[in-house]
Amino acid sequence: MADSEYAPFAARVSLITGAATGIGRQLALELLASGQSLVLVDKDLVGLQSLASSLPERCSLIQHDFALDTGLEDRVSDAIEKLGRLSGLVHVAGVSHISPLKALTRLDLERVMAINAFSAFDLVKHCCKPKYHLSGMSVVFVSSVYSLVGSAANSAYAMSKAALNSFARSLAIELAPRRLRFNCVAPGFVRTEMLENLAQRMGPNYLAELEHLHPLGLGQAEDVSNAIQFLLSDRARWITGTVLSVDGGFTAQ
Amino acid sequence: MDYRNGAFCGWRLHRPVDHLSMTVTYHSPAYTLITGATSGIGLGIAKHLYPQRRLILHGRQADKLNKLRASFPEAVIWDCDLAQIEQLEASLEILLKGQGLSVQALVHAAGQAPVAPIKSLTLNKWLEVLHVNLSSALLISKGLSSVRLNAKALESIIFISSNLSGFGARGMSAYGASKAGLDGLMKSLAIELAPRVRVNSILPGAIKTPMTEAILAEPEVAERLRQSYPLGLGYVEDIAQAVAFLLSEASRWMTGQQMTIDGGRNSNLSA
Repeated sequence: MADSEYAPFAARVSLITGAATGIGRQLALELLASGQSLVLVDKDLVGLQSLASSLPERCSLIQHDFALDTGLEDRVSDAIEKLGRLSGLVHVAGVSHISPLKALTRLDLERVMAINAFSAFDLVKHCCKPKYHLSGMSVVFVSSVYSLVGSAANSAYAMSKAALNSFARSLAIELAPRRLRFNCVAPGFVRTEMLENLAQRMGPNYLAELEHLHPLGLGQAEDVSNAIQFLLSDRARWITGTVLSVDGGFTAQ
Repeated sequence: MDYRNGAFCGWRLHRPVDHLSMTVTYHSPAYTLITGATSGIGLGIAKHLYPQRRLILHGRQADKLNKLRASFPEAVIWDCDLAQIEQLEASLEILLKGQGLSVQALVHAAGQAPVAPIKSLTLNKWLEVLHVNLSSALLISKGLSSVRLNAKALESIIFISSNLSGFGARGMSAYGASKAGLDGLMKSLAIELAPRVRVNSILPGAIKTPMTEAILAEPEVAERLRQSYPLGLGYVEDIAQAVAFLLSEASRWMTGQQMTIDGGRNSNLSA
């Protein structure tokens, strides 16, 4: 089968960044359970290994820190050679950065932009070469509610996530003739390690305040993973260039 | 880049079910009410959800309702003219109480899209469009979230809006205003009815339906649409798939959202 749209969802190959923890890990577990083969990228190799231990033949692991920009391309090419051309590309890797303007440095901003946004450029630039994907590949960037609404001391993170929205919209138009789809999922706060770490730094009331911001309460990683899988599937074959908020009502208020 | 050829459509008929569909809960004893189910997007949604979900199908034309009865023998039919807005609440109450129905989900797909430049737009036509597209959505949502009429059965509301919502187009002022209003209503209801009821809207782009047929038939419009839709025009099935997702547990954390499904149209400012 040359065309991913003719291949059953379960027989496809997807690449997931940030796959060792949180939303990326949940997505990887569900896609593995569905039968897909996965190229898994994270800086935490041990986390990736524990994820792939039961199905090593269907996984290809790449340890990579998006703060450093070298060496990903060759390893992605090798992984695709091993598993097959991509039908899905999901960029979940990201770092939060809370800092008021007066404390934010150019260096901090560049690091956040590199990990959250320029990483997407590198991935897409490489993986959208025709030899690395099947027709109809669906690309999903995990953005954030803070790409859509403002929040104090969050400017670097918000900039980086908004960049993903714009990048996806532009690529949606540019690559539609090649039948590639690009969308973003903008999650609210979900209970992940990233949030637990943040909560420890922010004090005891932080989680309660966050809960209050979401009419449906805090989310789970699987809520976001479900939406990503919908966008990956052919059921979303007419959806491109959109930002899908999965946020328990956060941005509706 | 025309990939909507015969082979592609043929594949769609035979495509295997995605694994996610397996996790979708389709077996509630409560009903899903679809307005505007006699044609277009509403009918497509009804076909997609039937028979896994128990359906109440709304329409207003006797001949079309008879066709619905034949196609969906197990569905309940609701005959109501949404333009007669003063009678809507009583009609809904008779439907629910009279047959003892409990409604879990509302899909409001009824809509009018008259092309009317402002100089020919009368107050009556404006009100008719607003009543069918917008006021009825409010009153049906009100009835279904009433404990007296529907206990606490309602869990999900989906409004079929339009990718025109929030944007402009010639001759579409009543339609555009009604759809922008619908999205505003959606956001308010999402907050007011949380956490028990999830409320979202779907913003389709141009899809071939009886409602849009006349508009799409004009050669100039057809050419403009061809250029402005990066993935081409859509099919009713593309919208029905998203409705099924938003009705399912897979979207349990989504509320207050406008889900645009338009083949990239709203991203395409070059056209």
